[in-house]
Amino acid sequence: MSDDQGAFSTRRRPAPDSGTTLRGAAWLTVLAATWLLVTNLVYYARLVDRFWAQAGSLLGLPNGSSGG
Amino acid sequence: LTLLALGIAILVLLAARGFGRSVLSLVERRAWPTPERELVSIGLGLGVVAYVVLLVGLLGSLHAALVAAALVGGIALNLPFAVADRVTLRCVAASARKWLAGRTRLESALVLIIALQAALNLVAALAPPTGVDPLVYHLAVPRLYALDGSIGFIPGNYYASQPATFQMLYTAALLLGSDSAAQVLHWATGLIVLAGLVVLGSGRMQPTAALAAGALFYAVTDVAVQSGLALIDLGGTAFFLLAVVALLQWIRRPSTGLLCVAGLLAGFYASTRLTNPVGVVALAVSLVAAASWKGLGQSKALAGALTFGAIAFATALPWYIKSWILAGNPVYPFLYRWFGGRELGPAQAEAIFQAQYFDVDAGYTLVDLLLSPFTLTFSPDRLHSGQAGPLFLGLLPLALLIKQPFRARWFLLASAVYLPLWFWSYPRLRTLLPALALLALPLATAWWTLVMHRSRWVQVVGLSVMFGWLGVSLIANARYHGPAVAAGLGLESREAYLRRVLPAPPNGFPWYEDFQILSQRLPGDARVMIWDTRGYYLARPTIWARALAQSLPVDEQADPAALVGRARRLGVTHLALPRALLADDELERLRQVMLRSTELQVAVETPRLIAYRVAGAAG
Repeated sequence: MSDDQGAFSTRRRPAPDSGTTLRGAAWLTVLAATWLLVTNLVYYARLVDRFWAQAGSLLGLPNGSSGG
Repeated sequence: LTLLALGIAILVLLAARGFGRSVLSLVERRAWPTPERELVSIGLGLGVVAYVVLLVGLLGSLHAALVAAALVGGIALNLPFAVADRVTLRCVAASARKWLAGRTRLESALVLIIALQAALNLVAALAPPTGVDPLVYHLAVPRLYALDGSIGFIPGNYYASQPATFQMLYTAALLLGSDSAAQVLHWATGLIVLAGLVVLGSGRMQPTAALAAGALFYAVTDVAVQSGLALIDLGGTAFFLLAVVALLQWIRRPSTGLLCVAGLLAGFYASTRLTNPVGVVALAVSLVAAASWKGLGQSKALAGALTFGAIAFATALPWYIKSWILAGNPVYPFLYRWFGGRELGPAQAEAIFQAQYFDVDAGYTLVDLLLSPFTLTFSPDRLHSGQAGPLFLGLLPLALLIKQPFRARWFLLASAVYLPLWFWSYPRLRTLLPALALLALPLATAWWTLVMHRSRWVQVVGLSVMFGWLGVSLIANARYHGPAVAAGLGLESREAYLRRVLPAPPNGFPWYEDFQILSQRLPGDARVMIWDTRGYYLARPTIWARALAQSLPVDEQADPAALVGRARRLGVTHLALPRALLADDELERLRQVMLRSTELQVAVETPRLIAYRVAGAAG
């Protein structure tokens, strides 16, 4: 299927050959995966901090997000 | 009421599909892939319905019967396509069966999470309207139009003079008798964005990754908030994404018709919010590069982008002309120095500008711009926003590292152009939703690369971060929409729900009960000045007390006779003055001055308000 075709299809395509794509830059993959982990850890640490600071409001969907 | 809301929303969507399909067959006759055609038709049609309501309103003929007739006409327009539609339905059913037969556990899990989120959002949308901005203008202004039977200038409520394509659909829903239908319509646009992402993703990605893109977008907490309320940014995002769908078709087989379709959709997006034209600029600029990558040639790409932008501008133009004629300023109340504005002074215009554009705490420098993805991820409060989650920032480096399909590269570029325009115009998570929708696809490709990696450890990281965030978002959604479930399912009455929910955070609206009493006891032709901006639940035309401050010099604001005279000239017949002190300094000062007036007579008393009749007022 052409790159430009957007037709919905359930046909399975070959999985990206991540080994080939990333083999040449294995250390970059490790770096990107580490970045992903670190951002998640920092994010959840701040979320937990917020949970205690705001008396149990998990994500504290703020008033401001109600529109505008 | 729940069934009525669902029914009206379905009627509007069917009419939209009829209008849109007809427009599509007129403008671009060549065959479209079926899913793209259906989504683009509905998007075009929603814009057409909105503009029909705008036209009828400007002509002063906003009546339920006329709107219903227009919708019936739209539904009838589906008939010529009935034969083709039977084939389409069979194809959709076959695709669904095929997917069900071959689905993986990962896909099932993603679909289940999306379905749970969508169900929660729908239940919340079926409940009576709450929120802040819907009661200030998204629903309040359509309500005023419906009461007046026409679209005109509303003093004080400057939002009413800004482009409001989506609010026209809400006007139709209100005229047909259901405000919850407006919320359901907005919820439906969330599904259109989801379907658009899956369709865009399925062209080049694994279905699993396409579903992950949808799940990633739908997990943004502002999407849950928007889906349950009559807001506008999910609707705007739907128009935006469908314009991208049409532009991809144009890149593949350039034609003026396809540019028209994309431009119309981008114009509907641009006219959904005053600052939305920045998204059209981002699309047009990035389109030049994207079309060149596909070998279209730079001059052809540039001509296409300019044509696309011009059609989008022309589509949004009626809103600016309307505002110029009715309010004296095409971008009312901004750029006052050049255009001025009706019932507005320079100091007040400046105050509104400051309040709108300098109330976030994310800075305005280039460094602040570069840090904005971090601010938005880790400190969204500083942008008065909900949570985008950790994955947009977390997956971005990998998305830039791996080999991406053409469309994903274009989406990365478009998002990069969008970011500074967003940051220096109206930086909130909800106004970034179009860019997040585009980003979701290359990020999902990056995520899929992790999941398919040879290393078990990398796979576990990929799966954990995705399902960890989707789970947290689902819990947050359940907590946020929880209070609306009983009302949304019809198990709690509208009255009981609103009395319970409106005074509590995050709504903090204390006047519901009082407004209900005033709605019953004030004369039918009363025009009421309120000491709040949320007039939706008062069934009379309302004017904000702030409108007085906006239109009078400061020295006259201390004179009760001047204030009452001004209110009278604005057509106010009654003042709904709070009994207690107000926290807002300006409103409290106006209240104190008004209380010294000798031209007011008590008309109705409620627990928290006293409604005074203005002596000598019309009506």
